[in-house]
Amino acid sequence: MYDLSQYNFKPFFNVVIIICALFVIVLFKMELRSMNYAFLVRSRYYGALQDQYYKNLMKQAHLTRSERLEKWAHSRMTLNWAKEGQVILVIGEKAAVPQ
Amino acid sequence: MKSRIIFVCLVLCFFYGSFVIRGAWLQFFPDQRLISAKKKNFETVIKLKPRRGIIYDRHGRELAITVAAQSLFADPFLIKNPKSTARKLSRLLKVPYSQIYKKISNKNRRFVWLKRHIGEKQSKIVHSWGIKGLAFLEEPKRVYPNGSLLAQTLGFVGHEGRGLEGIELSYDKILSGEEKRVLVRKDAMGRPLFSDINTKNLITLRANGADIYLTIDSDLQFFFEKELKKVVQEYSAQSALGVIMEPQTGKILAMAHSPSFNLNKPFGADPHLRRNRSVTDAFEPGSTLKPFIIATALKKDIPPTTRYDGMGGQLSVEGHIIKEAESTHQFEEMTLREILSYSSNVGAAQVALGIGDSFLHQSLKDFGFGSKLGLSFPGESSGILHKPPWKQLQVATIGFGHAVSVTPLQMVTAYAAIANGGVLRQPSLVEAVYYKEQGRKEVFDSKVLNRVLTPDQAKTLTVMLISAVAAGGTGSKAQVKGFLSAGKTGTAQVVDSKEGGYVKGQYISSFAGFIPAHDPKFVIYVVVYQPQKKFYGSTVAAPVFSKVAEYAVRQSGLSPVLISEKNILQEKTKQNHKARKIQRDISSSEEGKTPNFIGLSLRKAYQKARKEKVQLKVKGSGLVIRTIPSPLSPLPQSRKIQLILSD
Repeated sequence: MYDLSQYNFKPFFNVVIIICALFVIVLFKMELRSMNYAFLVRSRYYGALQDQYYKNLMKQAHLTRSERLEKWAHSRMTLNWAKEGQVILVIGEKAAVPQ
Repeated sequence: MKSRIIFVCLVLCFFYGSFVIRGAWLQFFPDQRLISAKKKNFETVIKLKPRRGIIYDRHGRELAITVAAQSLFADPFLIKNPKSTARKLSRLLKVPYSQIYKKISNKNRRFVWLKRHIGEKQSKIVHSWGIKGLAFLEEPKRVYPNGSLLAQTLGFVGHEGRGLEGIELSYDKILSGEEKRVLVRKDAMGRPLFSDINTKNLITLRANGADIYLTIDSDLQFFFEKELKKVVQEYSAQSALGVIMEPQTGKILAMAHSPSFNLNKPFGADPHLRRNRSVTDAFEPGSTLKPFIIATALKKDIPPTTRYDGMGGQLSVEGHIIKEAESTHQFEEMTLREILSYSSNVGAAQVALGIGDSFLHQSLKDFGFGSKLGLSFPGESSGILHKPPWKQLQVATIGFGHAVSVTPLQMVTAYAAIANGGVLRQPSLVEAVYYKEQGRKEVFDSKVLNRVLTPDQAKTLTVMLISAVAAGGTGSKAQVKGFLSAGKTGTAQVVDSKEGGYVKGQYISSFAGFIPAHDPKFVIYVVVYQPQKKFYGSTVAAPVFSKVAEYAVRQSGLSPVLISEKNILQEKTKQNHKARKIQRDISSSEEGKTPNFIGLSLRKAYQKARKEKVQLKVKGSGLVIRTIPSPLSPLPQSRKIQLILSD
């Protein structure tokens, strides 16, 4: 039977602690690197979203341009510019404003 | 044995020791060659290409946006079957087959552009083919959602994203921003590592250019362009342009040109169309310059009631005859107001001659003619205003807007000075610049150039300009129902740039004015180049002013005031002694002088004639627009007066 007390384990523990500490450092570094990659992916995604935002902005501006709105008002809503001498018939009970 | 172990230990210690010493040496005494090798292997420069800023109108509507677009390129060396590839691409991109085949069949080249800025659908189709040797590069593309709206003012950018014309050119540096280069470490795959960088730009991978807010109202701009297009078609004119300005601030609300061009395809357009002629082109303004001659007369303390002889419609200066625009225009005597109201060349020439060249030159210079106004727009012209001494003929012709060239921008700015009570303001197109990076907005305030008229002089001139638009004035077609407008028509001959003199039968019709006259909110200038069917400013340009002014006042929510010149005069009589004189001039009659019948109906004219004991000779029907002799001129002994009615 070995008598463990006759051995001195202190140096061994020291070495283990040092090695563990080195491993922890490496693990942290790896984690940092992986966070870097995650950050890179998200940055690219953000850039793509921003591109999409500008495209949508452009589409919205295209849809709401004055020329298109006027055409739309004429064709879809039969709204036209008032003409001189035009009679506008207002009907309904609440049409007349009390004087 | 022991000595051997010691020897081995010593050798190992020596080796490890030498490595440690070398490491420490390199650490503390770095080698430049090794540093550059390390940089090359582990560091990379990221170029942060800026996104060009957006251009907005005054209401925050986008006028120009940059979006990411795909550009297709080929590596001919890698394309195995150029014929079928060219056929496919030709059909998809609508580019001639021969053109594409020529590009991709040249195996010596490793990079050729096939089409830049192609659509999203097209790029997906090309991707789906999976042809080796075809690839895409992402490039910024400038898009103008309104097509041709404000084309000449906005300008456009080239394929490389640099501004080539207009605002895009003059604010290119601000809009495009600066390309930033950031040094970062990279991994074995060449991917950047951000851990040691704390730059905001890296999060977005973009460095944005600043956004620009213009003073332009895109609705007003659209309406103005539409009206100009109509007038060009109606009169088969060569072109038309116009400017709208806010007189209190000098902000330009619209700068319209017709014909125009599509900003999304600018390179196919005629270069002549791409120029902002409101700023770059100068021309003889004709009678629209007369108010500034009259203003100069007021500045020289010539009373508004001073009478000038009509000379029977002809004035001889240095052997040259100056005539009225129409041979039928033969005025007996005219006040300054009547000179403007009837647009008398003879009267204006006499006023100019009475002022003298140096004073007139200085006054016109004060109004901004003959010098740049500092709009910070590329190619701004200063116009032509020669230095005195001037010949008598030159002074006389400048009196009615010839022998001097002005730009539409100068003209509208000078009218704005009358409208805002006599202060000349620097015109502006840019309201604010928003620097997104710094979160800072720089707002530009209006800049006063100088005071050119006293408030009283400006008011007197306004009253005169109101009468020019009133019934009987040349600009009556510029009236807007419910609102009081003031302005002046102009008809100038086109200068023959090749042979000198004027081109026969070719005119420039114009109208400049402001609305509402009692509290001006809009100064509008309309110019129609070489209309073919009719050419008078009163017929061609004044109705455009009327329509645009009506739209502008209604769009801005101003309620109709339904006041007339009379109201203005009554209000002014309380404040201004000079205006009282003008009112007397218009409304009262004196012994031995011709009574004023202008604006009366025939019935009222006869009632007044009975009271004044004069005989009337009537021509036409409706309201009295003119009398011969003119009001307040000496009454003929026969006491006979000819009335000319409106219809």
